[in-house]
Amino acid sequence: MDKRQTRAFEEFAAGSGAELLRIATLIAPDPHTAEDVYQETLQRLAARWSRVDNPKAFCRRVMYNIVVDQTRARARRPHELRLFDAGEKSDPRSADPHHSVELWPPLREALDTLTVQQRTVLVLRYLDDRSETEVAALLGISVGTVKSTASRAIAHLRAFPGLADIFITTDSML
Amino acid sequence: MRATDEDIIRDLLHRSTNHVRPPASVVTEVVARQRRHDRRRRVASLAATGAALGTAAGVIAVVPGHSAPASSIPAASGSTRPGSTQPAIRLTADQRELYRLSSVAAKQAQDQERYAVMSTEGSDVRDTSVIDSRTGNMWSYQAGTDGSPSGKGYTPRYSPTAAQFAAMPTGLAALRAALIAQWKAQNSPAANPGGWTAAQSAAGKTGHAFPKAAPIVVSDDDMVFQQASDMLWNPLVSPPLRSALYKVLASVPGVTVNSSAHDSMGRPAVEISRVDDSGFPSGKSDGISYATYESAATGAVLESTVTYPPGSDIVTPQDPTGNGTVVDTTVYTSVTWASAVPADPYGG
Repeated sequence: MDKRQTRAFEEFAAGSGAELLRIATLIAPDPHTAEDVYQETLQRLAARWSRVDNPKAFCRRVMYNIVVDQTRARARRPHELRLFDAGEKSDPRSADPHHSVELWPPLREALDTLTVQQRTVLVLRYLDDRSETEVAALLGISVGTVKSTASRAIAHLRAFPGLADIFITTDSML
Repeated sequence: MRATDEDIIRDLLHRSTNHVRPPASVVTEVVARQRRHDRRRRVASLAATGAALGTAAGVIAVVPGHSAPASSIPAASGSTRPGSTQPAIRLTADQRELYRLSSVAAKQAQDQERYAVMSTEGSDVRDTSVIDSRTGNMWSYQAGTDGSPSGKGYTPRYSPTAAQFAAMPTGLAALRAALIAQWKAQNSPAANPGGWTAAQSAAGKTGHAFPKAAPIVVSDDDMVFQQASDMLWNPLVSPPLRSALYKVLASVPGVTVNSSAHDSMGRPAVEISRVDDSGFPSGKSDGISYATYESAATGAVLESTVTYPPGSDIVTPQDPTGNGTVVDTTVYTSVTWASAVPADPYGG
């Protein structure tokens, strides 16, 4: 990156950082992984900044890939990668107030029961407000898969005990 | 599925992440890491051009006197050495200091073990790199200064090999030409194949188009300074090449030398700095200063820094007022040699 590109990158990160970290918070399995995914995504973007035409799309796809890769790696080598549990006192970063990207616990638990792809489809569709076609292009899957993944994921959350109140309350208001 | 379920999910996801704000320091860290990576990558890809240039150097006329010892450096009164072809110009104090460093560097022994083990400290991370002098492959081990876990990586052909460095010309004119050619080869679009293609990103027509950066204007002197100062840190650079690089730096306008400086660990150092001229097409420099700090005793690199200028419009989290500050530093704490790749020193 030359200096002008560096400044353009810094502007992009300042403008888009919050939405990227929000997406990472929802699709990563825990807050520390979310921060790592956020930083790693920006690092990969910086590395190829001059060649990326659409940095927003690039970041979303990269975040998804990183979380998928980490989930697979963790399944293979659980002891090497789980160096500490989220929120554990021995994690030096847990004392830093800037690093609090905790989710409402019932939502965290509910999201944990979904697959990475289900979480990502939900987040891109409903947090990021992307169309089904856009989500399909970002994740490299068909529009039909986006539709069915989203509807299965919502049905799953609807049936999740910790979230029952939210859905019931709204039903009774109708 | 009812439409209201979608609305509930939308509301839930938004409300549950409204409080999430990224710390600004992350972007600064990312940029600093990328700068370090860029600096090293430029030289690392020398492998693609170094060998050809080294061969060509055999037929390029070597500038006489390029390997002269310190005693024959022309004094301010001009050289009277018979047959000397040294230019009859006064050397500035800065140039004399660079020639002195050149002489010191030439006298260092080249280590013969296969692996160079180099430890560095940046603003955010400690790093131990192991470079294979025969293949250029590198192993890197990192520990964040905040105590976060060690990350390690292996990068094939990261550095030029010792043989490729040894094949580079050491004559002033030939080396200068080689550095410019390398810089151009490594910064051409062909040097960066692949990547996120237009077709791929057009498929996801999301987000707004982002303006492309205008091409930056880089003079030959910029290229020579960047390439030479970016090469000095590498422990595989041979004593004759390191010696020649200091002489090349003495030929670059705008280089300033402070022989009574200290690096950020307080070690006495010779500071070689230059405000980079590259910048906007209008020719206006944005005043960023690049410096390396050398050991006066060995000519080895102790530290390299990037400093934004006072009154700069470049505002970073570390420098919110734009008053000028060191935004990136790499301190070279040690170089040792080993016959095998050592274990992760951070225990990761």
